[in-house]
Amino acid sequence: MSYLSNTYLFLILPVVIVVYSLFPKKCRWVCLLVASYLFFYMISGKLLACLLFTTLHCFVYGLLVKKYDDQCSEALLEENVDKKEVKKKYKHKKKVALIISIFIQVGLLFVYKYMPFFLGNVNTIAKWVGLDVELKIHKLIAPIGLSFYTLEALAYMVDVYQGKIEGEKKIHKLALFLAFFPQIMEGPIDRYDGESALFQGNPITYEGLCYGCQRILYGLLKKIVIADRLNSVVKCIFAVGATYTGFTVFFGAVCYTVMLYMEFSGTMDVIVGSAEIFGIKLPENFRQPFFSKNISEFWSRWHITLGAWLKDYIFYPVSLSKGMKGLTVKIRKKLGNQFGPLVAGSVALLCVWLLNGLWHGAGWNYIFFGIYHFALILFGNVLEPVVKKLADRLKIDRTKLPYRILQALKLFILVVIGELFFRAETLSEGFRLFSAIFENFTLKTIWDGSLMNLGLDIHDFTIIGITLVIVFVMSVLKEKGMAIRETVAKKPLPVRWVLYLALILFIVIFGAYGPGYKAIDPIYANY
Amino acid sequence: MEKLLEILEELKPDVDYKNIEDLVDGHYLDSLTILSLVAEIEDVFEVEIPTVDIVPANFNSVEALWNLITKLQKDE
Amino acid sequence: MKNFIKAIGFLTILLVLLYGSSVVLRPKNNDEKSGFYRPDVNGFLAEKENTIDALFIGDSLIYTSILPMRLYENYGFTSYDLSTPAQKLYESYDYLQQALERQKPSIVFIESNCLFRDFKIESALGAKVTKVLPVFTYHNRWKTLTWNDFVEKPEYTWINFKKGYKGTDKIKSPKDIKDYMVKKNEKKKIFDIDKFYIEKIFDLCEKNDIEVVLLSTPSMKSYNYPKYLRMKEFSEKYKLEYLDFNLDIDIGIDWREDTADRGDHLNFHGAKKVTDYIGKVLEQKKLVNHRGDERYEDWEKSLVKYRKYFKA
Repeated sequence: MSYLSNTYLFLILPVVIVVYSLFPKKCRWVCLLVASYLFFYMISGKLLACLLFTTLHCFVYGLLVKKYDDQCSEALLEENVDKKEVKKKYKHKKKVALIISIFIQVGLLFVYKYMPFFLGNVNTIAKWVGLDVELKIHKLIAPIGLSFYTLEALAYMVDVYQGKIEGEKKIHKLALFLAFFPQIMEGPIDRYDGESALFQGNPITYEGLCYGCQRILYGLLKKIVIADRLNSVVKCIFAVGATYTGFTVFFGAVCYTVMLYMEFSGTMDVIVGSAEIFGIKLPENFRQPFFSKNISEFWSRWHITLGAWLKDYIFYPVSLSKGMKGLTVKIRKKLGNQFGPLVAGSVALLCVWLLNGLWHGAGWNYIFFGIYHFALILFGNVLEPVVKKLADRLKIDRTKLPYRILQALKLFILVVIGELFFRAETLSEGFRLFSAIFENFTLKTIWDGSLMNLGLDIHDFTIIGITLVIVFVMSVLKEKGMAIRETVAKKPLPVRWVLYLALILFIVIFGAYGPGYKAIDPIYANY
Repeated sequence: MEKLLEILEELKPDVDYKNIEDLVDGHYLDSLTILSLVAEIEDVFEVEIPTVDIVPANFNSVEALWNLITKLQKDE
Repeated sequence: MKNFIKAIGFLTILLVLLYGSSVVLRPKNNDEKSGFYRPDVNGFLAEKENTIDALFIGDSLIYTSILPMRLYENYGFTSYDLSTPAQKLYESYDYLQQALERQKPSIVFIESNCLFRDFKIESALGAKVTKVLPVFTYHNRWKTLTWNDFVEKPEYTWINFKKGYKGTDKIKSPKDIKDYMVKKNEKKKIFDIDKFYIEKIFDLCEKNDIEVVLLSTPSMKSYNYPKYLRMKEFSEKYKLEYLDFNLDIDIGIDWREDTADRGDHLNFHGAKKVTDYIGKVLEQKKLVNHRGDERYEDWEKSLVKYRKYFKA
């Protein structure tokens, strides 16, 4: 099931909304929690046990750390104690608890997601060195949302350890936080905060309902009209054994990039909109990523919550570890600002990108995708002063529109190449496709009609074009800081209604669903 | 405070540090610059900035950063 | 309260718009050229009122096993295959209901394979919605919309001379048949939702005085012993006639010659064998021979086309 299926939109969500509003304010969380567990059970069945285990684990861990903290402050009150020694002792205890907990959670993730990949590679190496052992590979079906809620659980554990938040005393809060049904399958990866609206049982308001529905509609537009339509082109070109060359392959990669963005950000709109109906504000995962100046900025605007997670729990801890810090200061003194943090930064960045790649899936193409972006960001940093000098010399204003357009174009092409490897079935397929771009490359492909043989006709491309323009205009307005929904809300009723009705009819008529189309499976739910 | 501004100027010149209040969110300081900044601050002010405190809120303006440093100095 | 009225008003306008676009976008005839969904089975819509005496309902096993035209050729019986790929029982029910609006068959055959196919209640509800608002099925016709679509009323005139049959005369034999219908002491489960819908179908037939016969056409892939055992029990429980061509009735299927896809579906030769047996059954049930009846001249025309097509 996906968040864009009829089952979710017209059955599950409305039923939960009605039941939720019938509950008294104080026990509304019960409704949300039960709904979330039912939703999970519908998709993953008995694997619900995994989620329950992680919830319990977080809870027990939080209490344990709290106990250590209390014991520590008690011990500090006693006379004649070496305060430093006491602090150190309890810090050590907490650390042990944290390390064991991380080990358990990462272990679970590893067993469900990476075991076949790992064992496959072990087998390859064994064969390579001439060992006659072959490990049996069992592919386990992972519980839905495993990659998402595990990261949330880990963030909770680290935050509790660092004292950023207190260990939660009410297990139902943690349970709901980890399981909240609109969020469980595809994120956003949230941080625990005991004060979240999730637990407050806010009433469903007319305004919240309208805003939520609008957001969901916008998501449907992106997903059903564009992403699902592009699916056939992408499938065609990325099929193993396909023999497309030149511009067609590049076009396929462009289509995939657009499709991925529309699919993921569209689903995000549905998710955030769903939560908004219950008066819950989820963190945003996208901020017009294609308007970024460089790859590094791109990743702070695409899948934001994953990037932020990796930054907070991988990048800084690695780069600011004791050894790295000393290194940074030393190198900076010798080589200057530009290169000072580069070593520590690169090591940490490499960790981030390897994990980012692996998080998306156990496959060498994902690892390559990670390293590719690592390399791009590193080069970006090294080259930045050179580019700056060059621009100054040539008197190019880097904030002017023409330069920004060129920048955006460069960024887009770099992202497209990355996504080509990301989508390819295997790494070698990725390289085959990449080199195929340069075979018979001619722009004539655009108008000689060969793009019409990929499953879409001129009507389809026209609709994609129109819808992309709509999304583009919306993005520009958002980028300029306009609150679109609020602006529309101020317009008189007939204007608003015509707008909404037109949007709904547009989706119903021009959506790529029903006979002849096959909706894409939710891409991110599989990560 | 002057010292802090000096460090910032040295690390990344041409930014109006006194007035800008979204240094991180506005992409003036990227993560690599923050690395140098943290290392440098720890060196100069003899404090240790724990990773918990490395959040945009603490780095978005010079004032916030200064408050962080004074808080950490008190804790020592 | 004010908001409630506003919401109702909004939804009403939306429904009107959806209905309006349905009227424009629905195909104006029942053939493929007009964009009709699944014209093979919906060719049924063009059949004259009260002319069909037998119906065959089910999944692909039906449209590869039953040749209604052959029944007409040999016995003058009129029938139609109301079958679609991987048909679910709610679809079966809908097709039957739709057929009964204009036809009065005296007998309905149901392919038992459908009883073992699970589906979600949402799919059945969704089908109801698309029936009222065909825009959800036919929205894609905006690509070929003409002025006529705005003014014309639908009129179904395309007659399918194959009467729903969709098989081929290709031959592809299975590798081996040793697992086929091997005895096992277990019964395949019938899902609750299938029980619910099959009973609805039985009720509908009872109300219209229609005899129901359960049918298991030959298929190595779809049939096995557990399904057979369950169907035996099921037919006894409901006191229905059950024709099983996999074990009970030997009509001389030769798996080397009679299948188009390694034993999953029959080809034309296999279908002839099943159809001939069904013909004898229908003869016993005293169906009317319509050959030579003026009201059935369409069937005579179809027969000519059918003979030419299959060189039969």
